[in-house]
Amino acid sequence: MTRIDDETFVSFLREHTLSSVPVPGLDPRTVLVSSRRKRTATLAARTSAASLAIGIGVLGIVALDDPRESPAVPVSAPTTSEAPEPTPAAPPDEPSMCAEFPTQPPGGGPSYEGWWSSSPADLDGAILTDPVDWPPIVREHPQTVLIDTRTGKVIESFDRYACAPVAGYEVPPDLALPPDAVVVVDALTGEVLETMSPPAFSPQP
Amino acid sequence: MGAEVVSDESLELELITSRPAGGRDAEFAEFMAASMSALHRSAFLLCGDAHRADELTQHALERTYRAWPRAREGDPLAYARRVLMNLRIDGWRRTRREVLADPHELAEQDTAWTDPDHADRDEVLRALLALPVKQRRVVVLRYLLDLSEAQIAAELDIPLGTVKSTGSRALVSLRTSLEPSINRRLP
Repeated sequence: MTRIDDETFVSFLREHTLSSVPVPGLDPRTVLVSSRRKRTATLAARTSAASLAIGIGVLGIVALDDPRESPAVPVSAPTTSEAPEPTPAAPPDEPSMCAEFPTQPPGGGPSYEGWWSSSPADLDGAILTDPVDWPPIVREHPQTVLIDTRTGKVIESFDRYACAPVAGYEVPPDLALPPDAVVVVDALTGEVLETMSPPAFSPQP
Repeated sequence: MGAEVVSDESLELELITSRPAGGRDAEFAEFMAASMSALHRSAFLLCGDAHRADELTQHALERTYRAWPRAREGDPLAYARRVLMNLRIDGWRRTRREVLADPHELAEQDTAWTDPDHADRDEVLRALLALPVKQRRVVVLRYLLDLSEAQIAAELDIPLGTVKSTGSRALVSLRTSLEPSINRRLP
């Protein structure tokens, strides 16, 4: 058997693959329309998430200011470590997702770490802020919730648009979930992305 | 009622094309005209399916459009190709629920092509698709699209040594698959 050299072999590969490539079936104008629509949708999603987060913040402040709700002792404003602040609005040309979540207050139950909550980083440990550099699953599911299917309750949630928990999320009553598990669900689509074993102990009420 | 029905999309197209040149849309349209074929070629070589290549190309272009201010700061084609390489190439198998033949099994079948060139091309493409996605990316960028190893390391965000070793392993696999038939055709 004759062994051909690398250069000849690569030339053979190139010649036989590049000649198979079909003409694109895409209409550039349609791609442009679709691109504009998706950008608009992304901006709208970010705006509504930020508005919701700000709205919740305002409601909280109103509640604290309401004398009927005021406790007898002075209450200090929540610190950054206790309650993440909503992300400042990004410039309109740069719909962005947050790489690093602020520390969430402890939820009283077990905590699950994974791609949904972690900060994408390079091999040197530097955080990758450009979503292009992230693993596809992180980019494709920016809003996730962890649900304990035994209780149907949300354990934690993560919204990379708002850089905060998913505001106002409630588990849809018709969402099909596996029994006795902790699942990671896409908050927008309801897709179950990960299924994990629940903790051995019962969650605290 | 004789009113003509105009769809939202056609109206939007009309609005875009009637706009004066300049701005994001005009720049991006120019970029697409220059780069769509190259992107589509990369996509097809990665996935081996014309329709999926269209989808991947469109997806990469849409994301590049969204990040256009950032993409245009450097080389927009490199940016779009980087997006493309990071897409879930085989995702459609999960979402479309289509039953696909295993490329290994197909490669073992006797091809009944009457056109020998067609049969060769088909066999090479199947051998390429049988590679793991990470190896396929490096082969496509290094050997088929002729990018340098340093460019590939930057675009795939992997060390230079990994580019070299992955490319080398991929070539060995391709040789194993293809050399017998190449040798059969040698005079």
